Amino acid sequence: MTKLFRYKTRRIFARFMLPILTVWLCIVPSRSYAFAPAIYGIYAASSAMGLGGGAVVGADLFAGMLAIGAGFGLLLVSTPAGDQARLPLTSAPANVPAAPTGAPSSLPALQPIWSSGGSTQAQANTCTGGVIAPIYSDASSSCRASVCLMGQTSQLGFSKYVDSSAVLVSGLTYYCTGHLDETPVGGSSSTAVTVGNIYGSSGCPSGYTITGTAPNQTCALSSARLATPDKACDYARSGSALAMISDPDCAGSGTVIPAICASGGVSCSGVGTSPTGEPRSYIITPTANGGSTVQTFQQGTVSGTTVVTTTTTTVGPDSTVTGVSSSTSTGSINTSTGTVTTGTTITPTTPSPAPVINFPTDYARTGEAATAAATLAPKLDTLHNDLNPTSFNDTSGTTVPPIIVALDGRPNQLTTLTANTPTVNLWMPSLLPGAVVACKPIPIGGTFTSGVLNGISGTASLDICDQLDQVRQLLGWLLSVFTVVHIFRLFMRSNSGGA
Amino acid sequence: MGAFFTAVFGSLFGFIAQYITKKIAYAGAVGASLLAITVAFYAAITALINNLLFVVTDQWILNGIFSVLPANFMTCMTAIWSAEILAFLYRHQLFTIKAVSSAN
Repeated sequence: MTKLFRYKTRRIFARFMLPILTVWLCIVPSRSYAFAPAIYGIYAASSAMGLGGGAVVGADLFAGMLAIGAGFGLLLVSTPAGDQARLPLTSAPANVPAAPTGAPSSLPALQPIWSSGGSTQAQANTCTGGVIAPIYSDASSSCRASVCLMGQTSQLGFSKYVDSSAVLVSGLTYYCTGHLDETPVGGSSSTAVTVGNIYGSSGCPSGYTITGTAPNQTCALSSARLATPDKACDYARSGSALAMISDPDCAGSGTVIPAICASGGVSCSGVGTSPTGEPRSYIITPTANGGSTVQTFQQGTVSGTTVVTTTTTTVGPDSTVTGVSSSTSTGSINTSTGTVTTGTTITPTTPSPAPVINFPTDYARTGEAATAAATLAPKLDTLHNDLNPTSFNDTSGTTVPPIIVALDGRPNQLTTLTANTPTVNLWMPSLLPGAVVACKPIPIGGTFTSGVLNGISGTASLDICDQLDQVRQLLGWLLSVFTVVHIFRLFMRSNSGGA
Repeated sequence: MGAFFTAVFGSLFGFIAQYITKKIAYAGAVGASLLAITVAFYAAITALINNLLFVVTDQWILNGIFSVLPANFMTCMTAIWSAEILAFLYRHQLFTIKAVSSAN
């Protein structure tokens, strides 16, 4: 019984779990399991790029230098988790990071407020539903009582007592008084000690400002960055100073490495590691002409020596690259402080040119070279005459034109043929694979007829030919295997029965 | 393609029809008939695919045809057909020789 169970277990694992595990390991890359929040990359984006969403666009400054004249108005510091720091490099309005989209308005809700009455403090929580209007119209609603219930718990040997005198006092602000009863089970008749006044007040969530008069009050959007988290810590550029915009994303998950700007915004810097764990850092220095200088430092190893590659990119006030330079020195980067220590500059070694061999012009006049040349010369002349005779006779005695003339006639003959015409002479070449069935990108076009994109039209091209070609190659391989197996089985079949 | 089939089957069974009995010569005629039928079948399949490709203009369908018809499709089909006919003729001739030997 035990053996049967083990056999079935192995069979189930071999038939189901093993293929699933194999497919899973093929699909999911191993680094997906890695968790390294300090990894980040720096990407250069032009003015119109990288301002929306958390997508990483543009060139990686650690992967290579930008070309002079390339658009570079925004610096994106991005982590694998999708967090970004977005730093404009010029004062151009186009480089201002766009705020996320937030709801334009919302209804006021009960917000937690600490009170300080009595001998201790209590907190009023948001009541169920969160809308203040029903509470205002119903002075004895259970919602008001629930605020009191959540405000204070039993303590100091006293049980909780909710004062039924909780009333709405003015506008959208109300309170109730919490008592601690002397008896464990509580009761309104017992001697009670007032421990605090618990307040609840209508208010708006972060990023919204209350407007209007009670009870017709609404919350209007005042700061989209405060209202909607977008995992992007944005910076503002004013003149030659950089400053962090009031954005909770800058202190959010902590997975992004925001630039730490010096006093006055004269420079901002950040430090982290590359995906392979090597320290890297950057410094942005706004320049007086309205542009910026971006320096990236990447630590690496050359011939066992720890080195730091420094790349300096100068951006003009028109958001284009005006200068780039790179150098490698011995040194290291402190991942805690971001301090870059450099030493001796390493000059890149260039391979020496291949030595030039100068043969004398008359080297073939004597010796073995002269003998070989004398042997080959008449043979080459014979071959030349065979290929380019004026005319010759074939074995049947028919005079045919020179071979070059015949070859020249072939292109003229081929150009008169119509490709892919299913005639008797051309049906074989036009079969497969022909131009008719060659994979081409599929054009996609259309016009939006509703919504905010109404009237906008455009075309695109869907190119999946590489993927289809892989499928085609796989089918070709399978077909070849099938053919071989089929022929093998055909010839291995028994001869009994004859035809 | 015709030359290919002729080379494969003609050289193999031609001498049988020439030097043995009329009955075996009849079997050689069977091989020639099979050759003609196979070539005609190949031409018909080719014409069908060509006509289909000329009628279809949608790039999605053309890309699909491109995917499911690998470059070695007709090569493999030709090899399979040739093997089928070769095996059939071999067994047919073997059966005929056995029958003639038994009769004599």
